[in-house]
Amino acid sequence: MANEATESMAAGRATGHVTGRQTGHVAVGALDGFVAGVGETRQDQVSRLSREIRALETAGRPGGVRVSSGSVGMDRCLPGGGYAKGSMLELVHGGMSHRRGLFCGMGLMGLGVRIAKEWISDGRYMVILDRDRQFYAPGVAAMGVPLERLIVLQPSSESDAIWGMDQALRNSAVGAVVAWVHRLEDRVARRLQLATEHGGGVGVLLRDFHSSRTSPSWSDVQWRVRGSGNAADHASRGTADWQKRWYDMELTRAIGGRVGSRLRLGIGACGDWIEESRESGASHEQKSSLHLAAQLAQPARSRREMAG
Amino acid sequence: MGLVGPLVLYTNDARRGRLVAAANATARQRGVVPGMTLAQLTAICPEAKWSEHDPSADVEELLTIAEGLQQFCPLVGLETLGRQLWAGRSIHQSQGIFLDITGLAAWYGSEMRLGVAIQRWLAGERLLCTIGIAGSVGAAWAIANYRCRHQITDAMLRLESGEEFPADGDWVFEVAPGADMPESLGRYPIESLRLELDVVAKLHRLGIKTVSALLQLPRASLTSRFGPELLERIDQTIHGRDELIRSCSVGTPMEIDIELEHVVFDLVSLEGILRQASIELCKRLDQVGHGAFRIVCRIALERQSIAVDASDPQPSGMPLAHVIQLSLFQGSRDPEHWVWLLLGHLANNPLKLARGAAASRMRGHGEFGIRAVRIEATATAPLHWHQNQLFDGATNRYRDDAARLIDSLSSRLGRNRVLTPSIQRDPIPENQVRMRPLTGLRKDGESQRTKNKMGRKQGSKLGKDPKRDFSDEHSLESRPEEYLSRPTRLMSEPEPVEVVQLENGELASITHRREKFEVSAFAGPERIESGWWDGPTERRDYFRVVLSTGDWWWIYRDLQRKQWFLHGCFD
Repeated sequence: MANEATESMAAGRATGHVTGRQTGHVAVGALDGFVAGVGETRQDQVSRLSREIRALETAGRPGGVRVSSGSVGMDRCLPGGGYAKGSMLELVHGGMSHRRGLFCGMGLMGLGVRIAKEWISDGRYMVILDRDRQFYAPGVAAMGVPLERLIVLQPSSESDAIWGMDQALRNSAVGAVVAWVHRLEDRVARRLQLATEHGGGVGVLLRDFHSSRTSPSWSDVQWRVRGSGNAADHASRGTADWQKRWYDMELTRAIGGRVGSRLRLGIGACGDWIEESRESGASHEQKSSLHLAAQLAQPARSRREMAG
Repeated sequence: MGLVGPLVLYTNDARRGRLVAAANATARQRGVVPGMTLAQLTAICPEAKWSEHDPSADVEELLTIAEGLQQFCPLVGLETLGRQLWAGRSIHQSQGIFLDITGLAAWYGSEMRLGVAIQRWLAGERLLCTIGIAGSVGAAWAIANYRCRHQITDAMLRLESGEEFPADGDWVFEVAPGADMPESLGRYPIESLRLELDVVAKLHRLGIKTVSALLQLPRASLTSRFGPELLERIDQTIHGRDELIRSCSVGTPMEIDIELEHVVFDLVSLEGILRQASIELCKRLDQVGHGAFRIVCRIALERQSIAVDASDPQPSGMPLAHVIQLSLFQGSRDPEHWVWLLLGHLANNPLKLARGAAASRMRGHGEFGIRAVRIEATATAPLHWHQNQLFDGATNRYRDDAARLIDSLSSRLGRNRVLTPSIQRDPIPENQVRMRPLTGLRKDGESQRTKNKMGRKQGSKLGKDPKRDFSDEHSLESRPEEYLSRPTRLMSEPEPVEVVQLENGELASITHRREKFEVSAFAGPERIESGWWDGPTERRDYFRVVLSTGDWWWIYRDLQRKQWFLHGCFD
């Protein structure tokens, strides 16, 4: 990956047609006229150019290392089988009619923290931006996030919030930053992206549909998420469903990923992923991300699970 | 300041449960008195909001003010406590600050002017204060606590009713001169002598209410009837007996002073001075093997060429010094890190310096130059390096980088905005999580981990296990069912909702802020009750609710008020 990026950058410099890396805007005008005719098909050209653009966009990142989300289904949709180090991820609540800015319970924070948890398993810290001073830790602790490595920021202003996010993302000791973001200017989004690339962690932005449309971010991956909580689901599943929370997810942006893929994913009571394949339609559930340490800590539970 | 209702802080008494430790003026006006139980409180003032008193946070704030006051006088200390609670106080904790201003009055023109300067600085920090200046510690304490008490109460009531904080200059309290102490103190109540509760009760039974009445009693009989302490207090307050002020900065003075030959006006020079001072102080810390948790930097300001006029120390109400208080996540003696934090602080709170050529023209127009810099490490602890362990290497690997991040975040956002949660043993959800600042915890506040896990080493050195802190242990860890049974967002104030409950107990719909939501599914009730020993009982039935929109809410029915509330959501 690193080699690929270097080569692509060299190619960009040599032809002089790809510019604007610093500002993030890529000008590719007149490439057709110059590069066509070397023997490449149009499809080759498009794929090569997209590779070059991607390499330029991600030039600041630590060489192509990816971190698994812990979920097989989610990894399958992502390029390289995971989230790239130094990337931004956006979870957008899918409901267009959702009450913007009001009290909600769509579950994005739980999902964001669950994804971010994989990024701090190597001893790094998680930062949560809590503008409303309403973050409540017991649920997150039960999910397996170590509270001694959880930093909660409660900034008093928008500018402090952006500055705090920037500093946290820029620091190599921070594995993940999880934040609700409503308004995001272009320059701020780019600043956060560069900070993330510098730090090598992941920034998880939680957004509602309206804000994601009016002020798009520079995130590498964007999931549109809908809570799977309609009456029919619950009537058929009974009370056992309180041990899981299901999400219907659609990948709406991922450079090199399977954009448009749909996924039905759940989080179990102890924070483990529960996967259900939508294509097959069967209720095939696969638990993942149960670490050895967790099994050793609760041998009786592990034995019960293995026994079915 | 907006309208403030009655506010109460409670403390847990092992025998009587939750007792009121402090109340604001509005609550006191409605009859709330420190020492009453929360059950009594709810009877006379049901709308009062209460939360648990945090003694360490109180001390923290007081020490922060004390550090700021060191710009006026070098010897500043918190009031020294007696063995027992004093009459008139509801908590056994320092609540005042002493300044030894011996010989300083000449700098300011008079003691009164010094008092006014201090008062203005405190008003700038949006703090109400009463100041007593006297020839003895006891007399100053009595004046500060009892002379302006009614004025302070009135001012607090005005603020709590929504009035703006008074502008500088309108806010002048009488500062008592120190000359006529014995005569004026005679009118004060006997509580002003810092006496213990039982002594005051005995005196009240005898009908002795004021200091002058007490002084009528034969001195020889006081000790045998009331114990030796009463005589000691009379001597300290009335007869000017010496009393020690324990300075906040104890131990080896870890401070560096740099007096400048010429006043400087630019930040580049200031950066160099800060770096020089930091390097010197770090060397001194290195000699004793300590690192600093708290750094106070005072930048002495002076109007160029117009020295601070002794007859009018602060004509425009500007401070004499710019005080920067830094708190650190772990002990540090890295001068570059300090300078970085100090400059970051100055970038957000710029000095009002005269710049460049304008400096000469701006003399006396409210712009300042830098005359001196002092850096002081007010809280230090030994630093030892230890061999990395096999299993905790991952955490320690990032600790230094994380420390730098936390320091810089705390420096800019404020230490109360960079927090870590800890889970408490309390059934009531809002009391279950305590958010603690990550930086600058003092020895008299809460223990601070150092890189070497100092406490463990000290404990083993003494041949005994370190003291176990049960309150700090997580009661909820390794309970996997908790994730989906507790929300990720908890409202600070539960919002009332209307719930339609069917005859069979099922929840049909919820109306929140005039908007109706159909309930798709629910789980509950989960009964949560506070202990009978914790004052008024809280009895709530919690439900997890899935709305037709897919949102998950956490609502409860207050079984005593027969009312439904929205308390959180699974965000």
